[in-house]
Amino acid sequence: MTIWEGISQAFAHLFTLQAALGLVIGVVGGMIIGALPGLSATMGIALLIPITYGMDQTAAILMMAAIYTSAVYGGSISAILIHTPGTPSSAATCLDGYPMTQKGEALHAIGLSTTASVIGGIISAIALLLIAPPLARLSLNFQAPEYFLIAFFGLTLIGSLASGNMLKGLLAGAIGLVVGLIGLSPEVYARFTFGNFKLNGGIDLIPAMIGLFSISQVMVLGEERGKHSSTVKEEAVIQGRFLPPAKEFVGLLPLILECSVVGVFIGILPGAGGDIASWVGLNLAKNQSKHKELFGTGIPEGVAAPEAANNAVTGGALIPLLTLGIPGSSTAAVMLGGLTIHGLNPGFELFSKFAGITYAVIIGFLVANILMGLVGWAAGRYLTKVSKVPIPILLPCIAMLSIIGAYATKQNMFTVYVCLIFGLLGFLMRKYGIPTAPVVLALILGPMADEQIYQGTMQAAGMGGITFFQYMMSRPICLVLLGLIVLGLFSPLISKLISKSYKKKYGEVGEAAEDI
Amino acid sequence: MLKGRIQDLVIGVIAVAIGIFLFIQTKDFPGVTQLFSRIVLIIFLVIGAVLVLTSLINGKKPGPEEVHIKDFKNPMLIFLIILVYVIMIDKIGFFVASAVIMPALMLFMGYRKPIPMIATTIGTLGFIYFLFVTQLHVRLPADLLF
Repeated sequence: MTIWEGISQAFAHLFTLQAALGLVIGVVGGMIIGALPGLSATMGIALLIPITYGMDQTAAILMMAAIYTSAVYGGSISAILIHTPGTPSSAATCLDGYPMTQKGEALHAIGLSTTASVIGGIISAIALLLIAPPLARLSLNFQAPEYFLIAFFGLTLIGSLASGNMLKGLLAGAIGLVVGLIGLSPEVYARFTFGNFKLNGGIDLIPAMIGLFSISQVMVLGEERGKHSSTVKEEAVIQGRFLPPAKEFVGLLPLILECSVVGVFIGILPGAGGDIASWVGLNLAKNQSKHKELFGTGIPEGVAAPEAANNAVTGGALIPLLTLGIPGSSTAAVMLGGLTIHGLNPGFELFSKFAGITYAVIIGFLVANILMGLVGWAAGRYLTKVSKVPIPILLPCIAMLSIIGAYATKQNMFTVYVCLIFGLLGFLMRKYGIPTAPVVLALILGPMADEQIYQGTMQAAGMGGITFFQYMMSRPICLVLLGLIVLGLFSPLISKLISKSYKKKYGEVGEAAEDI
Repeated sequence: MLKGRIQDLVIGVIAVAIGIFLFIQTKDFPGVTQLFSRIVLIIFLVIGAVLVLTSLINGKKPGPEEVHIKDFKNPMLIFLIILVYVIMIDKIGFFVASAVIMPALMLFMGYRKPIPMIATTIGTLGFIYFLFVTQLHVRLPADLLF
């Protein structure tokens, strides 16, 4: 199927009331979640997945993709107005965004951020449309050994999801793998169920994710008890013009385009996300500027470059996710869970059997980026009001939505208790510096590796009694994948070095939101 | 040894203990199930053991921040309230339990403005009823009211 055939099939899926609602809710909801320091796109998607159960597949996936891109943009608004990045991707934006606010150019800074984010997002959507289909064709040649290595490759990304201590990141991944063992094995043997038949189906991903990301966050917010605080520090005076003047825009356009392309490339790379892209974007801008000394004093380049780069990451990150099932970030890992729950398995099938849905999501993602610009233009200045919601009001709402979300998974109380257990586990992990995102990644990829190793062993046995390992080594694609695995193992080290060098150069910014 | 390092040591020891316990359980597992389970558990055990060793070797070097027990007080109380909420949902239904617990959580957090409290409770429950009950047709736990 050509791209054009895919696009022509997409319109029937896209022009529905549900898809339109999913798009609007995703854009507006993502922006609000992004603007609220402490809440991330990852948590937003985890919390909203149960709401998508009753939706059709296109609307559901589109909503998640819209939340992803919109939350990255929303994070820049609190970075600009209150010097607090709503998401880690917006930390670099604080450097020049907040000084612009202090100079009375808040609206101008938001306008620049909106323009750059929209352009970055659109370019990444076009890249997704052009790169993903041919890449997915590759997966046509995949059998059990390749899928096993794909799962294994995904597991090597665990190190990159561990923002701090690598060893604790690996421990989190191992916890996820162990939890993934619970339930019936591919050989139909009840493993670690301890006689409880409710565990035969394994640990449900959605309640586990809601617990790890949302309930643990409710408990963290509980530390604010009695402080009567909102998430906002101080309210900025929002004035000035929104859209950049034509001359300024034309001057910035080459930089925005360059940062967008770089952002797409960083998004495709496993393990390197929006935070790294924004620092790389800022560095590009500084290197090309004739007035390097003005960076950090509130100049347009310092806002446009990181914002174009970090939004371009979103479409880039969807490329390996949709084609090979490799989530390169915690948000992408949660989205992988969402895809699986809606019966959509990444790979060639998405671009053949489900082409209409997939192309509708890609085109919808492009539209979401445009809509994000329009909503940002109309409502961006008011988003700090959202940040003023007091924590005591916010906390019970998140708690209740988490519980009902967990219940809706199977409509029984068992899943709610699973959610609570993972909430407590997530909180303890966060307190002791163990990241929670690798648990989710391992919980998805562990059972996949388990299934493929079983299938592969059966296939190998039917080939004259060779072992699974011999079978794997006889396939050329497996050798390429093994090379990628070695690269994946070193990617956290490379990412860390890049990130460290930029942070050292520019200094730490604001209260960097934790990547939850 | 610094307290932050002791915490890591304890986490490592717990991981190793759980790993050994689960590894013993795999003795009766069949073929590939046993193979895969053991690979995963060996990875888990090795990481736990490395955490123990690095904590012992780097015991006096600055490491993770110490977590104080008092930091757990409010989050654990919140967790208990949510646990009570879940038990109440099971016994008296979702809407009644939520109508009681939402204001209780706000009060616990130190919020004292009645109008926003009532408005938030009614608004959120109305949203849940509209979305989950009327649109998504989720059958919520049997309620005293609905």
